[in-house]
Amino acid sequence: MDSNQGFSKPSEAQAGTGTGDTSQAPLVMQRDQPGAQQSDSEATFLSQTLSNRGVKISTFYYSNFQDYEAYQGDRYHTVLNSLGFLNLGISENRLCVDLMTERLCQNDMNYIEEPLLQYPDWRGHPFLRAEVAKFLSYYCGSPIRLNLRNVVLLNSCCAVFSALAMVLCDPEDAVLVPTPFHSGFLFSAQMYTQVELIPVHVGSEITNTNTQPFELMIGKLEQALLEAKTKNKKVKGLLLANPQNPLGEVNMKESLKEYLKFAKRNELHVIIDETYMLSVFDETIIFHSVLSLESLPDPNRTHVIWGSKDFGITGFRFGILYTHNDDVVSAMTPFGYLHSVSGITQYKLRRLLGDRDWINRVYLPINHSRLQEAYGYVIKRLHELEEQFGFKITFRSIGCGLYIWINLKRLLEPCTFEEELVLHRRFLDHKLILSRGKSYMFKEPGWFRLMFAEHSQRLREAMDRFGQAIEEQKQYWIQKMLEDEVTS
Amino acid sequence: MFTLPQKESEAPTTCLGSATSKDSACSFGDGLEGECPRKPDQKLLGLYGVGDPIAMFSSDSSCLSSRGRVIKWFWDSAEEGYRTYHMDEYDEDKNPSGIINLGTSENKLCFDLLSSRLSQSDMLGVEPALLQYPDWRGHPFLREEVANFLSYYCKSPAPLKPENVVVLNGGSSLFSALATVLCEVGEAFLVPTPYYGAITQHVYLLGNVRLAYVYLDSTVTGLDTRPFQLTVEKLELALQGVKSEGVKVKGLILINPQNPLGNIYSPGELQEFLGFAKRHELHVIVDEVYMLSVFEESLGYRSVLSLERLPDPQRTHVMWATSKDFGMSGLRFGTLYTENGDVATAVASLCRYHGLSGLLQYQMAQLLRDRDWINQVYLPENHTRLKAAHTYVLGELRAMGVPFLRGGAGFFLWVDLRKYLPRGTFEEEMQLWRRFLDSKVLLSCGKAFECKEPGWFRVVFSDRAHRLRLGMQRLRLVLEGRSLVAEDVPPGHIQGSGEQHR
Repeated sequence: MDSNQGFSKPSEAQAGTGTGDTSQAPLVMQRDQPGAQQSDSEATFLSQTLSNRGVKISTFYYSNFQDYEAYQGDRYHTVLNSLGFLNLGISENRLCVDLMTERLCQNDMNYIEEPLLQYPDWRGHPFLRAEVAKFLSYYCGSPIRLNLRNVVLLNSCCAVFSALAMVLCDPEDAVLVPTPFHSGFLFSAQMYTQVELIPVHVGSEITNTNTQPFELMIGKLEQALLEAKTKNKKVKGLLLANPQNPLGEVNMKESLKEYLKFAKRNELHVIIDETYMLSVFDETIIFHSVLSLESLPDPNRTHVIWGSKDFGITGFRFGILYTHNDDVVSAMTPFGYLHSVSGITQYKLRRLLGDRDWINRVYLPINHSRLQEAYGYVIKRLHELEEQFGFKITFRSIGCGLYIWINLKRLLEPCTFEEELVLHRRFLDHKLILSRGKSYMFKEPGWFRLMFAEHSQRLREAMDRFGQAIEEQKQYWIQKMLEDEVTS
Repeated sequence: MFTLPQKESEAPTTCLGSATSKDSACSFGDGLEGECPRKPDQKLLGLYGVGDPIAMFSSDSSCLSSRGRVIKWFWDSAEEGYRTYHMDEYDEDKNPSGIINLGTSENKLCFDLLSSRLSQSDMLGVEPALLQYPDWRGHPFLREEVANFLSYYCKSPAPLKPENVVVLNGGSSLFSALATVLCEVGEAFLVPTPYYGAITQHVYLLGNVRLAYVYLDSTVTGLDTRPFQLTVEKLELALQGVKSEGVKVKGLILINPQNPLGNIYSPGELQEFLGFAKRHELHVIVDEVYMLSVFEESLGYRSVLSLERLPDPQRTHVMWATSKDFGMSGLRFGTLYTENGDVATAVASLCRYHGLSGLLQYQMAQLLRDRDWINQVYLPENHTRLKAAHTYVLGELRAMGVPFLRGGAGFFLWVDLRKYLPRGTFEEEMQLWRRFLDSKVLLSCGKAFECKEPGWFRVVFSDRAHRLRLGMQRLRLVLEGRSLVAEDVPPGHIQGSGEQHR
């Protein structure tokens, strides 16, 4: 197996081929960064050949993605590697690979013409941008026909967010982010852009500021903005996700308008990530895209992101920005060089997005029913565990997205992030990857995101491992409680 | 990682970037703070320069951040030619009076072969792993194919290893990633000029790294055997000069085969340059993107990976991509080969932003492993066609009495139009470039390659015969119009005192 296997300390990989002395003492790096999956004592390494920046980036990435790297090196396979990692920590829809495969193998997908092999328009081929405009017009329910000139295509939503943050914000500017918020963008903010993300905590308890759990009230945003200003921070924008990740909520139309008006009052850009807009599988829930609003309070400062999650093709590597602001489109264009999408991929995407018939009659209904089934299964298993171990697992029953936000705080003693990490590692020991609340910049320890859009056999296996880990954790918790009683 | 320009502006820039080789105070237009530099040796002036990509930036109000405005401005000013071209592209049927593009280096000669190969059924592989989140450095099956491919075509003495391979979405991304992990903000790579100018943006946009130029000129002096010849002595002098301006140089970029010169560095020369780099602990990025496009076999091209021993394997990083050699600049697939695990790992940590589709990775693996097709169908035919196009354009240039460098690798000729510039200035070069564009033929002017001498142009010939014919016709018309003007004006009436370049 090659060095895919997790992150080996680089100085071990040299074996006398180089001229430099690469065996350096590890340097402990200060850590409490958003997105951190591991604890504070990760060692970094010194390198004779990398710049300091290179070392920092490398260390930062690997400490945040250690689980991911481990998974890539040891993936579960029913036959070939039944002890491998099951990854319910990253969010990707694995339920409809058969449908996608079938569609992607059809003849219309295999087409080569010259412009596809040549240097493209860096915002994306016009044929694809036109298709995206049509697609978004339809699925977002836009009252006006959206225009291809407002579309930019890059090779992931993270790249879109990163480039957008660079053109909207200067280094050390800030963006308000209601938390919990998914770690992909949080991580991206730090890699290249040096934009500070100011968390606006949306809590799980009902208080006098929260009439409902996880409700983002305007007052909270106002307060966060005020606090930031008193600390002399330049807040340039507000980052939202709808449907939310990890909460799975969709915003009411009225709430959306309120957020946009708040932003306009304060001249903030609004970046709204609608990546899961087609993954609302509960029919009683109505999703409202920001592009469906009759009019935007501040069209020049409203920017919408969509990508590969809805079709379960995260391996395609594409992300889309829709914005009315011509200057932003213009400024995003050079990033197309470095975050480009192959002409052939663009062509396939165009055929996919243009096949409304297939999407409406085949893909969406089947996808939604499978999501419903997988979701139902996981809820059932969680209930069973509650009964078996006699404790309450709070979770939010939403009906959108690919994941459930579950509260395991009753298994943590004390309820701290350190103990959350212990539990996270316990899952890892059982070869199960979940993502933990801290990586979402969440203030309350004990929450985990469990992604359920996984093939049924693997989901069953994953929930078995989950149960085993919970059982162990319960024992550990009992032990700790007993110890506490003895000492107190 | 994007710093903002200061207000001091440098010499006017016409195409990309501008060079400063001054003894001015600590002003590099990017907020770089360093000790105040000594006045550089007189003899070093003219041998080196430090790039300042945003020297001419001027702001206007908009919703964008300051760096957003800079990015936008940079892009707007640098891409004028291509934008004009894209709005009026030549097409045999639909737009016969459109612009012929002899400026972009793309191989358009073998689309028939490529489309036929890419349409074959073995290219349609769809598997779950290809549709899902991948190993960011590239699917293992592809990295293995790349290692095999490079071992064979670079003729490495020992088999190359997949763990030293990282794949990402194009050579430009690779430059960006390498710049980011090898340099701090504001540091520089040394690059001999003329060079492929787009690298300026590749290393600056995200990495905020600059280029320091080793100016080469066309006069053959001393021990040189050809124009624009790079030597270790020139490298040493340039490095010294750049350091004296307080700029930290971390690496050297070598493009081999060379763009725009169309020539190659001999194995002996390569060894010398690598030796120079090792002495100064510089990284060397060897861009071998045209390695399979050497149609003149007598040039004796050898990849750096074919050398028996690298002086500094930990600091030698080789780039290759399918863009040029396989005529697929739109496919966006590039590879890094390096023995330095730290560098490979660090570049891989950025690959999340430079990823390529799993389906494409599959296709590339299929392509690279098809040695039969490459050796028996593609390469011979490609070389034949390149050679024919090259010969045709040479012939035309000779007939026009225009000097050029013969080349023999890549898709272009480096053409000497200095005699068409009465005063020999970059302004005139720009005017000539505009006249070509107005006459519906797009070329690349020397300034875009940071050439020290005004009047050199790069002419791309890797297009179909009828387009070449039309393009060369239009070129000739402009030059004949131009040369008439220059000859008509008696020497005494030439304005300004600019030296006459021969």
